[in-house]
Amino acid sequence: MIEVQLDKTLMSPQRCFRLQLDFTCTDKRLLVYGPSGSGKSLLLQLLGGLQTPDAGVIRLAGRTLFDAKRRINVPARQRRVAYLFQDYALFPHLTARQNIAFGLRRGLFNPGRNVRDSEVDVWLERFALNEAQHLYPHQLSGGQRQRTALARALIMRPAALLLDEPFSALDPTLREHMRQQLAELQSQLDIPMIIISHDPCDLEFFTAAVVHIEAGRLAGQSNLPI
Amino acid sequence: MNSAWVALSLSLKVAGWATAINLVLGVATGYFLARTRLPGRDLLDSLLTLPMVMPPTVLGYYLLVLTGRNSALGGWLHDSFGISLIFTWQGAVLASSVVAFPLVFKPARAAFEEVSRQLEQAGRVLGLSELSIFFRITLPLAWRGILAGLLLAFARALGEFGATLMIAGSIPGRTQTLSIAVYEAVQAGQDSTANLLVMITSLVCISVLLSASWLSRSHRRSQLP
Repeated sequence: MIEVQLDKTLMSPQRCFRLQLDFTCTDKRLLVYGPSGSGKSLLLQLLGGLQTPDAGVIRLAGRTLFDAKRRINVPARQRRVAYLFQDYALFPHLTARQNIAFGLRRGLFNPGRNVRDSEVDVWLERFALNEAQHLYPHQLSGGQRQRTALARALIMRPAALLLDEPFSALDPTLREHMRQQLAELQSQLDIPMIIISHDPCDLEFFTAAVVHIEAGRLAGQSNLPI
Repeated sequence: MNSAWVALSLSLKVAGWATAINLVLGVATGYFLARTRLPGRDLLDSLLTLPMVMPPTVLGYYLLVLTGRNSALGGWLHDSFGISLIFTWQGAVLASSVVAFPLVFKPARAAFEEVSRQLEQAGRVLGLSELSIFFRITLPLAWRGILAGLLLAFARALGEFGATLMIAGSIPGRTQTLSIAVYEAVQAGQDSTANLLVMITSLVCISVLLSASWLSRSHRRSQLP
């Protein structure tokens, strides 16, 4: 499902960070676990095409997204991966409905407030966002925001789902609920899902293959028992 | 009476063109400065701010030297296109544009710098082209700061006097803008004309201010806390 062989050095005046990873995972669910600053988010950005590796290979869901030797680097907008940002990155100038419809509309104009689209309606219904569809992101609750961001990403029928610390911005009771919902969603969607977390509770909850990263290096890997 | 309206419409025309030019050039420059990592960008920023601090007459003199028919640029414009900027309303537009330029690109740069890069990345993973990202995410989020700059630029262009006088002169009906006409009327002792011109100018300025506050209010209602 996912094959990663990466080398990436980030230089800034303050520090120099090197991420070197080499692992293969055949499961549909992968949990990337490690303390903050270990390079998990960078890994996700590399998978999503928001950063370019210095060398290596990335294969995800049967497609080669990056291969330095063969000079393949699929740009982010063609990778067809859904990316859930840690703070969701909802567009503050658009309503929940417009946010969800955002990727469906090509061209230079945003979808209107009352954009008609049956797919948008399906996702609003599925994530119980009907009441909130005309609210702006700052008017939504934490859970609604996350569901809006998920719907916005999933409506594009992605080939994989990348989640950057999906529960860290939620309070504990909501966190439990969202974990449940995400597990359900994954069984329905049948696409590879890669979750990043530094929370040991996520380790217990998710039945997933785990890749443990520390200081930019692989510190351990466990695959699901078949 | 009639000449006052001619001066008003000329002023509005000049200020409108100067604002439109700055909408394109000022916003593009602001975006470039906000996004580039060139080492000389702060020096460039300072250089481009010069029109704001230099005396308008000095600026007008520079423009005169630069675009006069004896200069390389002015000669080329005249020989190739038959365009002459000296003593024309287009010259007044040039003067107003240059003077008002820093009022647009500076707030535009600040506004673009405040737009979260992550939102642009979110657009990228959703499959949008860079052009779509600019027009659908970056520009709408920076629009408020840009609009404030544009209104200031319009007001500044409307009141432009020194540089305009240097390059376009004061030809009634052709290059005599409202603010120059006021000066001429007072010089000639035509108090009633001066009064009328001053009244008109004040009314225009007040309506610009009112529309500015109305725009920012209706804007606020539709978005952001």
